[in-house]
Amino acid sequence: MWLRRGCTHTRARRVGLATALLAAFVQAAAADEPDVQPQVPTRDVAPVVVRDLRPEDLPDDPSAFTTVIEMDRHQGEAKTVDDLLSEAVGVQVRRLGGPGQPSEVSIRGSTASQVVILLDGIRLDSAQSGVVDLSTIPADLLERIEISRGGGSVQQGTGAMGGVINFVTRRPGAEPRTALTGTLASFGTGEGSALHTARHGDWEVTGAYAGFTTRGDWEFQRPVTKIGNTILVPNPPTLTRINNRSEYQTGLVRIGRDLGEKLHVSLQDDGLFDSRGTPGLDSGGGAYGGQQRNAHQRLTRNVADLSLDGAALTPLALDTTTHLYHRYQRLHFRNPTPTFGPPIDTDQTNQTLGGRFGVDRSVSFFGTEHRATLAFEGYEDRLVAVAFDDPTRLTLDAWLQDDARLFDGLLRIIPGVRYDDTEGFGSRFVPRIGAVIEPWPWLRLKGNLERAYRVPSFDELYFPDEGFLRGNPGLLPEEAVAWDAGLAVAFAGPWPFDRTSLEAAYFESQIENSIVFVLVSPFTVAPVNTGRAISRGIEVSASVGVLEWAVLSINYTHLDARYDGTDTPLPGRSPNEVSGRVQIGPPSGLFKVFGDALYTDTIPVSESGRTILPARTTYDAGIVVDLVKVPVLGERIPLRSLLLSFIGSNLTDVSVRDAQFFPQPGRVLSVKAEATF
Amino acid sequence: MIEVTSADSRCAPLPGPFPPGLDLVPGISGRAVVANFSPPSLLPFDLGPVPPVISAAGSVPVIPPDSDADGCDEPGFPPCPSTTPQPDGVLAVSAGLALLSASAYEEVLFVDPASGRPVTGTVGTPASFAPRQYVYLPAPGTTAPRTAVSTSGCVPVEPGMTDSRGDALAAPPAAWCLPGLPSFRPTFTSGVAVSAGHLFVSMSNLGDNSVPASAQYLPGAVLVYDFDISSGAPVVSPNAVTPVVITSGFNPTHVTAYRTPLGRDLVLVSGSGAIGRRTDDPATPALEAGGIALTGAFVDVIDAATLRLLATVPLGAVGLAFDRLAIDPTGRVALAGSAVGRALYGIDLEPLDALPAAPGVPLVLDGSTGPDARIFYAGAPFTIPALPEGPPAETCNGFVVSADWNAAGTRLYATEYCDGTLVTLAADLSGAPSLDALRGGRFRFVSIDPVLAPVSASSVGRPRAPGSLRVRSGRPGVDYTGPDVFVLAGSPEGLLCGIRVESR
Repeated sequence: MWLRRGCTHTRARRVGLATALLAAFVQAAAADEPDVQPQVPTRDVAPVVVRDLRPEDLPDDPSAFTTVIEMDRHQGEAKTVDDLLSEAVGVQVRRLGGPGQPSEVSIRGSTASQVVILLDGIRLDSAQSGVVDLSTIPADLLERIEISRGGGSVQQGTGAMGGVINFVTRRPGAEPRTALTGTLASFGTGEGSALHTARHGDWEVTGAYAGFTTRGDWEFQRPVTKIGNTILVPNPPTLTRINNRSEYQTGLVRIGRDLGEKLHVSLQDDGLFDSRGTPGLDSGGGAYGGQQRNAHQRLTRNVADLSLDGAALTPLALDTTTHLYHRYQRLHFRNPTPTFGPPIDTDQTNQTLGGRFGVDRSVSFFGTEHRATLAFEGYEDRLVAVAFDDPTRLTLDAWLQDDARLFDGLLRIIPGVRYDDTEGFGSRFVPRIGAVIEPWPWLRLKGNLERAYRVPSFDELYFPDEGFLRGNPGLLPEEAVAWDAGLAVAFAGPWPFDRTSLEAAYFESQIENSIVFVLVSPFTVAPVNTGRAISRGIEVSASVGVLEWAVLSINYTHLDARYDGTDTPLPGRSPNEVSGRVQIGPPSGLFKVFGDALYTDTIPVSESGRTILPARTTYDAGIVVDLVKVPVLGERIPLRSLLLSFIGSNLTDVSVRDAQFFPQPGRVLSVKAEATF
Repeated sequence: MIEVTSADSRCAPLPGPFPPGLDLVPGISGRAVVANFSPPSLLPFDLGPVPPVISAAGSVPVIPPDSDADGCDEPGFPPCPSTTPQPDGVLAVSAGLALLSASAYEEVLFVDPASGRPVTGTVGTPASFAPRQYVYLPAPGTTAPRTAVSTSGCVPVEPGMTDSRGDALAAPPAAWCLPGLPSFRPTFTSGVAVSAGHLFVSMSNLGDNSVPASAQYLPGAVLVYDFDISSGAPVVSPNAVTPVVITSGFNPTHVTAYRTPLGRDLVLVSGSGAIGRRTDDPATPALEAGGIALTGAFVDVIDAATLRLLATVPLGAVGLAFDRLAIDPTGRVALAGSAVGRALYGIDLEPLDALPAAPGVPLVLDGSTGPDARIFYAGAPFTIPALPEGPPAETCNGFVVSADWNAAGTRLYATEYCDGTLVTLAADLSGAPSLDALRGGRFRFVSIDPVLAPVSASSVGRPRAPGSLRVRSGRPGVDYTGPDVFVLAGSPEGLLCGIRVESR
């Protein structure tokens, strides 16, 4: 039985409002002629991504600036999820160690908790921390990564201030597909996966497994600290990253069935077990530089989703989606020998149980075409942790959005509004409007204006008052107003380019009540709502294809994120980041040679912006050969493809840190094999 | 390479936040040392330029893994220690030696105040001591070259002793460090003083702090070592007769050497008493997080020659601040701030010359068993006004961190943490004033200047949290140019700030 602390009559009022919204929507739909051909449901199911020359749109949010990373384009490259995200425009990844150690993402200068992370449309970020560790997402099980930059609060609710990332796992295609991968890399790192997808009549099946292990224990340079003309020399100058062993096992099962021609039911379960040493900070003195020798954590996570999708359901020709989902996460952390204080042993379980129902309907009147969406969602977050006093929180939401096409599609207006009622934080309306102008097929202009919010996490509210750090139950939600505008150009040619694309955007977000952990008294660090923070910047991405043999792409992000009152930069964000990629290979896919470069400007890491990590450029390169396409040899291999890859990362072995006290490894060499049946 | 800069033209950046200690180097005008917490190190500063500059040429070393040169890296595996030293404070003894106190791996390090490099001395253990009575010192009856002296000694538990919660000290015999005798290892090495050929080290002995509203402290202690620097390098060993003096209250945080007008060497032990923190009241919008005093503060008086506790001055539950006492140049009064409020507290040093040297029960200098030496105490604090734009009292209810006198003894300067201010008091100690006169008007509030930002949500990113304060000796504008008051800032980066206040 789920424990609730809410007020019964308040909840009844919220349900009543949701019912009224649904009734209004159905009445409006019934008043229109159902003369538009019904479309298949688009949300959370098979991708409806415009795979032409332009940057892809997401069906739920067509005016958003988006990046869709198709994993097939990176087949064999042994890239992790954080590798791929760090190369995307507008996105910064903060790695807190080497392979198997935590990493988190920031979009347009957001914090990690201001980004919503989804797995097949279901939230992975918990109400406890609001942050997802990217190292727990196996790249080999993914079909694509959808990045929506700059918002998404209407569709996703709390937390979508910087953007939304949806990890979409592999789906069955027309033919059964089985893929096996194996990777060996430096520092005793090994990774393997097996994946099978198939359709059998009305049934579809996906089964997948991925495992990862690393010994860690790599050597790193300790940073010299420069103050004026004096340097502080660390002792010892190099150290081994200790207590760095890590492994995870993860599995995915999805079974779906068509129920007649208009309904599809699917049950999906994704489980993860992760066990790792947590070496903590490279800070302080001693032979280990302050690293923790005995700290360890075990993470168990399971996400289950039962969904029912309907297409053109009579009598109103409504497309519907229904989800019932459950997310479970248990984190057990032990440190028998912390630097200060008694041994630590915490065991926390957080769960989310929720349901979502959405209807879409396409109508046309007065010469305009509309696709209207109305959705309802309710979920309860529950944390079981004695020191937190086992908090729970119920959230009830509804959202309504229209996608209006005017002037034969020259102009699209996408207005939307979300009603949110979060237990303990009252209710709010979150409006947004987006627009797309497409005067010519090769040019699109886009813009968005929206509000966003984030309800404080359980950690921020209730972190136990047991020492120097504590939560603050008086926190208010973060609130933001964000807007962006830009253009996308895409066309074929001119010779020798077979395709050329360019996207540029300006974005700005004003965040009120930013939640920051600060010193509030001589004895206490606690999260508080600070004044206004402003994040603004420019995103430019360009790509050209050359004679179908080469692709050159480059992304540039400029970010100016700072506290408005004190004009100090928000820590942890680099003001400039450039990523470039060159890929060469024949159209046949026999091989590809690729090189990636990532320039990261200086990173302010303190609250004042006065402690600064140096700029750096890292280079990766590799070659991927499909042995099946090798003449003569390929004929003897009964596989669709057999990729063999050799990859080097951080080839120049530069010292890399995204956070002051978390070193990252230098050069990494990998060998990967990938067979597809 | 990580680069640290300062946004304040008066302030030099430090490598890490919360620098725990600042001291002026005796015998060298305009030279100071700053204890840096992370990475652990001692930074020598030239105070002449604005802002101050690190005076060591080229580079400053970090404390090495084997900080005391005993052949064991910290942390290591038994018998080596499992912890590393965490700097807590600094005392510049001479132009060639500074003593850096450190917790966790409890010790006092010997450091060259000119370069920040370790100084090798000779450390020994009396032959009469039990094996492992001082777990990281050389075997009893031997000496060894060391760069630090361990304070991981042993405090005997006397009958009736309780912790700050009032509970009996009930450790299992296996945990006793003195063979067959109830005893415990002292922790949280804090203040250091040198007097009459002895080194005095206060040990806070914080026990369980996981319940901030009722933190547990074990009985306070001052460790006593024989100390000789006549040959240049320190020669140190625990005093064979009186290695430990138990303090009258909990949480002794500093020791201050004091020579009376008649030439008697005393050590004044300032203790805050047990300190906790308010827990949050969910019914109020503010976050209750201010400090609270759980037991009484005190100043104990130890005879530096006989090593006996002569007297104590009880100040009430005022949470005396943790820095050394500010003794005026004439030696008449000693003042300190408060960790739990915007107030100064002080004692009259005049009665100390007359304290009996013969063994006996320590006098209580509140008028009960001895003369009243209290000037400002719980019943009569010297209150400092709060800034209107400062943090809410529920969160930060005041912390007067550190105080120091000008050379003439007419001005007292103090740092207030919550508001980020420099507080100035005028004092008139002329004409041998009576205790009543000292209480009655010889101290006067002059000004409060916001030299740093208050600890509040609106000052995120700005330098704040002032700490130790020292006034440069000499007459500003006459003996030197440049700033005369030096203040550490703790957050976001550590800073050493020089401020010109015309302190003469």
